[in-house]
Amino acid sequence: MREGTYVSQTLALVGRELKHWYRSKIQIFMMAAQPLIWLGLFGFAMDGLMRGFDQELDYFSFLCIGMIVVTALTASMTAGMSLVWDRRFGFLEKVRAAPIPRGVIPLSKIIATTVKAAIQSLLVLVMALLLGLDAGGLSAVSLTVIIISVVCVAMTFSSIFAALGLIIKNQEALMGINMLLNLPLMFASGAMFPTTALPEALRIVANANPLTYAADAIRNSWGGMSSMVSVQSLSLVGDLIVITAFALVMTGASMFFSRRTLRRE
Amino acid sequence: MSNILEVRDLVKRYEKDVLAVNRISFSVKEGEVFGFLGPNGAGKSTTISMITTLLTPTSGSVTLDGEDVVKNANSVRKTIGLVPQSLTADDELSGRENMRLQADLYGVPRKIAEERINELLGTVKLEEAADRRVDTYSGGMRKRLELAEGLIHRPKMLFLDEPTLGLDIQTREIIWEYIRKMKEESNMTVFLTTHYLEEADALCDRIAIIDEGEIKIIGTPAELKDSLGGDIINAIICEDTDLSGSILEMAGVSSAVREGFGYCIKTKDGERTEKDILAVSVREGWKIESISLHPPSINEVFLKYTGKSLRDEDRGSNRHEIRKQELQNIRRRG
Repeated sequence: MREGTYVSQTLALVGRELKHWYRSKIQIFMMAAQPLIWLGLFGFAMDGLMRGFDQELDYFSFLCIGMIVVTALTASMTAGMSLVWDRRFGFLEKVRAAPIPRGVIPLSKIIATTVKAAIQSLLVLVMALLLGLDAGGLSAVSLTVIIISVVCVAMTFSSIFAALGLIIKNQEALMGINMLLNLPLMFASGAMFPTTALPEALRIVANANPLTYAADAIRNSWGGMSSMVSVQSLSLVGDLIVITAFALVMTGASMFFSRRTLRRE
Repeated sequence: MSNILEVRDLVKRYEKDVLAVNRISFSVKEGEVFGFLGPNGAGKSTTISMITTLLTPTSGSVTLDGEDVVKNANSVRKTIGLVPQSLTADDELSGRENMRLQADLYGVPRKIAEERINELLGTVKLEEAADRRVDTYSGGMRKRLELAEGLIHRPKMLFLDEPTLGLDIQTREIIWEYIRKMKEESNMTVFLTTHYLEEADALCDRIAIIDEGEIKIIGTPAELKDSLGGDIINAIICEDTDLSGSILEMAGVSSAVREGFGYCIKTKDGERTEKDILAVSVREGWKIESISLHPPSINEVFLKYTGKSLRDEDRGSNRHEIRKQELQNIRRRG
């Protein structure tokens, strides 16, 4: 096989996923609608409530940053579902019959999901700015940090969900697991609330959740928000190291695991 | 001719005690069309899945073009083309996009791929529909697309799993024509599973009949028919007396069964027995209404070795089609 084929094989599969995505009008609509509802309803309502505890806290801005990383998490969950569908419609069999390294199968899902998640998260940023997030914090640095954070979150979670999608072959069961994991991952983190407001047990969980560090990284880079970070002991660089490590380890683990699972079938 | 495929003592045991394939051994020569014939659940698809690297054998070995299918799976995958029983094209992409994706997966360079895609889409008569989404295709069109996809990398050996199952006549013709053309023009080996007996008889150089995970008989269509031990003669003789005793005395006749005025006669040499009956009838004055000679068909071979009629099979295949349809409906709704 000629040089560079593995790359073109991966890109071919990524291209297929992205074609599905941008051709689906309903998916594009949902992608925009969901964060809008969160920010518009939850954000404004909670802002008033939170100010009752802490006059200084700009909860709306806090939540906007949180929603950027939470959107990346939610987008990552599609990685598993799309593998289940590929299996059901025979496409996975076609890919398994092709002369490609088995790791390319999860990797192409992870890359495609990450691209989608990054675009969705940036859209949330735009909406947040339109709804009143202070644009003063926006800079080349914070924008770069947002992209890195979102990419790392999406890689971490799409790796986990791609692996789940390979073991759990039933879409209802996987949907249930998605829902079961979504809420605790979202709330037991520094994304939606400062972890200082969480009870001790939840705070321990939040400190092991990459979402906490991804949100912290963005808040550390966003002017005037660094006092709101959950893990005060880590600087921006520290946060970035943690989330990059999560992303690389989980992607590697997912490829290793999927290779074994796909071979044994 | 050398063997391109060697299967030795191949076993597949699923959880508990389901033995899908029970120690089968056979080989396929380079350039031949080899047919795998058997009822549903006989182990055909399990065997093809193991040969095409999709399923790991419990034990035994499969060597394809000198490579072990378990140890060197990716080399084997490059050598073979697979047209699976289920439809595997991505129905949200166009036919051409599916072909390009397949070319990329098999490492066919872009320039060569474009030429081949046009050529293959022409062969399977999909040029006009090439840029339409696959979910607008009929079942036959999808199957033809699968065939074209399986050939994009010019495989040495092509696997067709039930290629004409539930298809319209046009598609069946295209697929038959293509297999015949391949046989004449190229040295591509074709391995096909089918339960259409006429298909196996018309296309295959050699046939293996498989049932309950075991190969019952293997040989050329002529050899299989010979193994039945001769021809069948159906005659209607309008005589009140039972003539089966007299017929049974004729040379080569192994059985003669009477039903009303009809006789079913099994004989080693059909033409000779036919002449004998006519000669006796002239001498004895039998009134022969009709007499016809039937050389044995693969149908009878199949029945003898599997004890199964094919009507059950068609019901099974319909079920498969319905299931596929259901899934598509679910997807559209979701």
